[in-house]
Amino acid sequence: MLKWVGMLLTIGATSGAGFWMGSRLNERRRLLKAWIAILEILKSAIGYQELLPEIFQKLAVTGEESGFDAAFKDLAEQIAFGSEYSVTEMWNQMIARPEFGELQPTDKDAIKELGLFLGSSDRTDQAAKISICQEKLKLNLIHAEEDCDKRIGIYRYLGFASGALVVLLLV
Amino acid sequence: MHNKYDNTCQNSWVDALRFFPGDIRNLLSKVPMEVSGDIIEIRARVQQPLELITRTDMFWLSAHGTFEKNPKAAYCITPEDLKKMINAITTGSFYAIEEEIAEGYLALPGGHRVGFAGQVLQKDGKIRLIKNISSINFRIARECHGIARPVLPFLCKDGRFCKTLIIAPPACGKTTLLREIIREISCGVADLQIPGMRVGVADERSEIAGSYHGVPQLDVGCRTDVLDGCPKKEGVYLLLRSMNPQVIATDEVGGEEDCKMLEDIVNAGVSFIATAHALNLTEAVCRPGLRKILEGAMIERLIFLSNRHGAGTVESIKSGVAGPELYRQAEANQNA
Repeated sequence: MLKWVGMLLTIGATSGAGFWMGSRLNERRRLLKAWIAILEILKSAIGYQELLPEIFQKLAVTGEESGFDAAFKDLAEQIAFGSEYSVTEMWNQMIARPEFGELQPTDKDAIKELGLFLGSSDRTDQAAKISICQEKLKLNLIHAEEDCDKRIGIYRYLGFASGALVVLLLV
Repeated sequence: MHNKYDNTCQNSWVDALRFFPGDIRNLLSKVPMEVSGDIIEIRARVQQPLELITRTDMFWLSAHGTFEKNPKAAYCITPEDLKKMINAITTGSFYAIEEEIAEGYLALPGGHRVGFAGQVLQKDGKIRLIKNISSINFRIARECHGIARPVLPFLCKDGRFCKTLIIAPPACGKTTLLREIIREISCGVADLQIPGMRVGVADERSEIAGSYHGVPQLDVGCRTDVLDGCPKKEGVYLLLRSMNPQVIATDEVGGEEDCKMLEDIVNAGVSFIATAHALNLTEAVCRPGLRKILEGAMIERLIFLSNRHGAGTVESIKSGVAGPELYRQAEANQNA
């Protein structure tokens, strides 16, 4: 009986690890899609000359589903009137939050690059910079989707197979 | 009737401090309370000492929060300080305020205003943008309830508001007095038998109502409609067409076209109150635009201000250009 339990636990653990690896890829895809949508809202709001804290407050409300609400709420508070820090500093701090942990360094670099210019130039330039960032993220999204298609199944299969192999070796 | 700003003035100092970054805020918060309420402007220029302007004097602020008359002993604003201040005042949203900065000032919540100077970018002969900002002037908004009371009895006749022009040099409290008159006649003053009137304000530079996002931040009364950031002339006609005002208020008339605008207000059966820059009547009539307004015989009351006893000192009130003086500061002093 104990042997069967051990076998099931081993296969369950390795399969779980496989599923977890797959979910990370899915999470990156979800984050990239959410960021592309956020940047669209940002571009539109900047076009209407809304101040950054107001835009981030709105994003905090609309970002509840994607789990970004706390990140944008904090950002809005940190860059309000009398702030000690620049938008770039606060933007970079936000990207480093655990909510965005599944983004790859290339994704984060694209978003951070936008932070260097965010708010500091005229509206036309802001729109152009946001569009560039969106294009980069869209390209990354294509790669992320390819990764999902190719690797999610493999991770899951490998998880189960490695567990089964261990069980076979031990038995 | 000195009309000096007194302790009825609401202290906006604490509110103004929240717009400054930590280092500068800490420095400014060291200013003693008895003096801070008197400060009307905070001026920061890159590589220059931090300057504080009160109603009657100016000081340089030291790193310990003490006032210095010697600029060399004062705290010097670094480029990093100024960058932080601009960032804190604009919330990093430069794109949203580029048009306001091109106008030279930015309106903030609470009615405060910030003026900018720096490198100008031109387009078609007009200022498109001010970049590389090298100095800022933070003007603290203050409401001085009650300062218009002494002049109000002279401005109303038979329950009607007289067409009034306030004349004074810069920084003598023209706009503050104008705002207070607007507030009082808008709400009505039962003690003086002044009924509440509908007042339309054409606030070209957000100075009168201190509007932020179109909402007046300073009290201009319960029957007042404010057109914020609208060119004076267009604003006045729009108010006449749409808001059915009994009194129209606007700041700083004196241009060639302003006389026609004021005539049209009168022709619409509406009274007005406006301000103009001039030291006295002699100087006023030397200015073609203002002379035209004064000779148009539309003005029923002229109020002359100075800062002889502090900003807002009413020097005299005249019943029209050629009319008698209804009040004179010197005589009032003697009588007192």
